[in-house]
Amino acid sequence: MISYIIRRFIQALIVIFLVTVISFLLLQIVPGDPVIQILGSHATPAQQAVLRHELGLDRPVIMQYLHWIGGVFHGDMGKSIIYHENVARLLKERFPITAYLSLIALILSTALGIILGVISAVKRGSWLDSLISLFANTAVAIPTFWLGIVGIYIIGLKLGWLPIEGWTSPFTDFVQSTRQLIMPVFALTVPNIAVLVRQTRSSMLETIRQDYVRTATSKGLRQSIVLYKHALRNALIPVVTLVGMALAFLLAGEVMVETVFNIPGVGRLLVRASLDKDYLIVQAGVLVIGTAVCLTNLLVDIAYGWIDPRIRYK
Amino acid sequence: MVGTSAALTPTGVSKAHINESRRFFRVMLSRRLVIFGMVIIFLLIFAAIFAPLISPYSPYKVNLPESMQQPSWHHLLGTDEMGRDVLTRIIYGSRIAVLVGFVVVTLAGAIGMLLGLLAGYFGGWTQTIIMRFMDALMSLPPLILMLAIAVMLGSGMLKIFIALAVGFMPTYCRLMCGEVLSAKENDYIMAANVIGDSHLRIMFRHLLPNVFPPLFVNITLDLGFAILAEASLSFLGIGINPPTATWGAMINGGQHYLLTNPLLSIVPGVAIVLVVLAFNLVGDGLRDALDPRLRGRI
Repeated sequence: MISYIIRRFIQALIVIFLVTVISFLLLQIVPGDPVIQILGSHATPAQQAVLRHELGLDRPVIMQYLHWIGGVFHGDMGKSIIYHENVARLLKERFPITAYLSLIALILSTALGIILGVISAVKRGSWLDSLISLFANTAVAIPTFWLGIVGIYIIGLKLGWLPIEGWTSPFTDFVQSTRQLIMPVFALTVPNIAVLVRQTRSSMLETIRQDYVRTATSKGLRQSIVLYKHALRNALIPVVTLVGMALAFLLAGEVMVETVFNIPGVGRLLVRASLDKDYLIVQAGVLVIGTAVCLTNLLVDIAYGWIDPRIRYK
Repeated sequence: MVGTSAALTPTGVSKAHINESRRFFRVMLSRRLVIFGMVIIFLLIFAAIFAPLISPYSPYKVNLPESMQQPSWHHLLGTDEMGRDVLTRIIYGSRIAVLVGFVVVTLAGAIGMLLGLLAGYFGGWTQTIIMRFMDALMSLPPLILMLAIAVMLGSGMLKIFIALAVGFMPTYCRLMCGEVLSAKENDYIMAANVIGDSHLRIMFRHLLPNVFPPLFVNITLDLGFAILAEASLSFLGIGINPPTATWGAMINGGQHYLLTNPLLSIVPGVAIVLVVLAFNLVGDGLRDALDPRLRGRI
């Protein structure tokens, strides 16, 4: 197990290193002089020279990378041009909001996705299976932002049941906070459920075909025991690996949902920065999100190796 | 149609091949949902090609006296805040959708498959470097990666296509690499090696045609997802520039008029859902028809 963890850890470090390279390269693909792009054309040559030196753009590319990554390790990801603030601090302030929303959506979509997927597999070929499959097919096709807008129109504006936007910390006013969260969480969860339903269903169907399931059935165990004690436990193992992917999917949804519902999280910050061409925020956002997903995948894989010993020896 | 195909087949084609393709079409067409998907895709392409013939209105011309109309015989889905016919803009939006799907998937598929082919065929360091880089790209949520690249590259349709293609590329690379790794163990590749075929010839003449079919499913699915991704970027205001009629930008524009004219935002969304769903249904149908394990059990 230890050697598996070490091996996996080294792999994760390599991928995280490459994520930093990709984030670094993002600023390199800006056409023209990034200093002028960042400061605008009316900046004095002196100002330009200062920023150029600050960003290390007057040095060779490899030195630029080392300079930049060194700053990142000290929590220095540059200064935002629009907000006149430290990029790291801007991200840190907004991170808890995005994490809170993502966590709720992740738990809900995993639970519902697995339940629906199992039902669909066990009742394969029935109308219930067709209905769930149709839902899954449709749900991945629905744009998250559109689902949010339809929700705002029907539930917020027409029926007046829920507030249409905004964010309140659950610590200041839990009821209001929850009311504001219902629609965004719904819009985030629905497409994500769909992905999990499909995976769980195919994994469960795969497992039901295994020899040990046939053995359990033929020695006379009740169908429900075979399904839920023998098959389900094994079918869920590959589903575990999807959690990392689901998180990546949710974070992308977060960008849309925070914009639609005006929630001051990392997603909306990224969109604002994108529209304002505040490149350093976008770069830092990609770096932080990529690293978070890599670390989640590492944890998931370690858990996977722990649950299923076969994985450790591959 | 299936019955007559055997009689019409030229003599050179083997019987096994006929059975194979007949089974393929039977599985494909046995599902009403797959047919539904095909019809939607047909309508999409039809609308994209014949847009100016279908609609009497211009998608761009501002006509303020007729702004914000409810649906009527003149404007089947009403008009927007600039008096432009909503249905016309939906129809013209299909052009962007088709273009996005086609260009993005071609770009992503070509680059991804080429890299995957190289990685799988040469193995070793080539494979390690290419695949680790793909792992890194895949650990970024595609939408965020595409958003970032689109912002950095700046505006312009081609740049949006490139940004989207980078997001879709890694899957092709990974699938291709996996397929090539298993296919290159076959005897016919060894035989090609023995008779002295070049690497290039082995890769493109022998490997590529044999590993391509499974990727076809992914291509079909991605045609839909590329449209969805472009709509998301357009919605955020980072996609293709206005006033070009794109479904995502239409939803964004309509957002501010939800109380007066909700159709402005709702209708383009329905178009996106239908089109993405259609590619999904057809993709699933293809997968089932291509996968020997699922045959005969539909």
